[in-house]
Amino acid sequence: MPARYARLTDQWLLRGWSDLPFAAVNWRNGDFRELGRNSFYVAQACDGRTDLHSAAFLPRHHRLLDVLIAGGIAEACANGDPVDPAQKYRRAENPLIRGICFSITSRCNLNCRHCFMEAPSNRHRDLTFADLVGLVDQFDRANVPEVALTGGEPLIRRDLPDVIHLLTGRRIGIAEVFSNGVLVTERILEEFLASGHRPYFKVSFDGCGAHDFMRGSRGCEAKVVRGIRTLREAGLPVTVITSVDRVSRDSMPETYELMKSLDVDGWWIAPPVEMGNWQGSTTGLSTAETISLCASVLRRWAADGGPFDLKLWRLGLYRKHESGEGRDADRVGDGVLPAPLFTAESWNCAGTHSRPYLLPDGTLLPCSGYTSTTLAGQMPNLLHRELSEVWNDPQLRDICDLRKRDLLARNDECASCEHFALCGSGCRVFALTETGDALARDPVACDLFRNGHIRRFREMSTAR
Amino acid sequence: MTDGRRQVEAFFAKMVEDTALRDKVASIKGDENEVYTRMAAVAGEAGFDVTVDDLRASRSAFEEGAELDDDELDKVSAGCASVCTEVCGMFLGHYIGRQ
Ligand code: SF4
Repeated sequence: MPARYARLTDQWLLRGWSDLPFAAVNWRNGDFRELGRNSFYVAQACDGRTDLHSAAFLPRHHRLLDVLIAGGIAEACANGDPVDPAQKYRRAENPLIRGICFSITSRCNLNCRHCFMEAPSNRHRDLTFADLVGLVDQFDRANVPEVALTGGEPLIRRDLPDVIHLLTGRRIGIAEVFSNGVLVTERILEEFLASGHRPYFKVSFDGCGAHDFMRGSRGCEAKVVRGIRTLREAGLPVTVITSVDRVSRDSMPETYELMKSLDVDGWWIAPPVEMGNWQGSTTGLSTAETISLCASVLRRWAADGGPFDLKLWRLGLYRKHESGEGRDADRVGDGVLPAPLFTAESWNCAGTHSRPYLLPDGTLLPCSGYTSTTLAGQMPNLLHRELSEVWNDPQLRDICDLRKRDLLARNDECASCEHFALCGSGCRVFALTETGDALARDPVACDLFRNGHIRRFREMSTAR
Repeated sequence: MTDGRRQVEAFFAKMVEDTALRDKVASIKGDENEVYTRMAAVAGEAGFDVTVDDLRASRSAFEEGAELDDDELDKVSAGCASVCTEVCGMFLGHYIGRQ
């Protein structure tokens, strides 16, 4: 048989962790393939110098090589074609971390009434560039394939181009950027694009005519709209996140039209979470008011043919309707994202399980939702301890490795509930903040499911 | 599965972890007899009781059956979602929307 050589395509890395020994990870777009032993064996031999037709490989390995090539993970090559050393297999002795929501600064150029981390007060210490280098080195050693940049306002850092280069050099993808949109410029977007990143921008916009009031800064509404346009012109995906209250709710019809004209990929609406600056606010919407507002937006969206992805608080994520030929009925459903079906063995939260949140003072939290909770004070700090060590910390593992069976054991009503497969006892942060018990059922999710709101919203999303 | 076949499987499993051993086997060239003879010797040095006949029989068995765990193929060809949507109470809901 003639010799056969292959190599990994340049975005794919071979990585392993203590709980998942073999995976191929696309650090550019977050694609992630768990590998069995045989496929790992073949992928590892895609090094441009190992003859895959030699005696070390069996017909089953040839079939797997075909699958890897068909999936774009590997490509045929000539003997000796180079492979980047960073692509080679590396195992970290910590459990899997798929990504980190990385708060790179506590500073912000706005003064938002609902900032969950009280950024304008600079409550959390800021990170120097040397701190960032140390943290990114830790991510690298723990095999973290991607980050979402957040703040404060991440674009406020003058050294952001250096941060981008730092991450690129370590082959860590920038999956998302959470920004207030005011500081978006062509120049900074060019820094992302020139380094090969196409982050998903999540931009805050709190309603036409209401934005400046919510954000505590006059004139920022026009700036964020310009920022969104700049992002779209650069071809970057944008989801707009709108925090709504009694002051801004009346502007939602006009804001909806603006979202359409800006051609955003997604629009998310929700009341601010009861954390940070928003605690004690008097303009918050009640649950009934939020449901009513979301229903009116959903009706309008459905009648309009679903022009963008729509996430309505905790009432569902509705996908943009495809039109014309090639419409994918599964994806659209029509409009309803195929939901995860929880079983007793599911992780309590797949995000918390493998995508922690890093505060700008170095505190590692299972999720941003724990920022203002008592638990935050007990969490490890990466400015003093190593990520691959603390990710094994029993205190974190107790939260991150929680399974639905642990919640079922505590909540009899959930065990016999017809909604469990979709609800899964809800969100732990809501359970903790609403009841004081992180293992209790989440009363907000429970209300939405048991009172039929989720079902009604799903039906509404398909009505024309 | 025969003892010989089991030994061949164990030898290939060892090569998953030991790239130097894999390289040694991959570098063997020659006609079929030569390759199997030298491969059996390499396996013997690594502590596996593998004969030329075992290698030949195993390879033909693989070629006929070429069984692969479906799970293994599924894992490679499909990506996996990692964050749920509806129940996420955190509005930041990082990574939602990319899946
Ligand atoms: S709806 Fe209520 S009882 Fe049912 S699974 Fe959810 S939290 Fe549990």
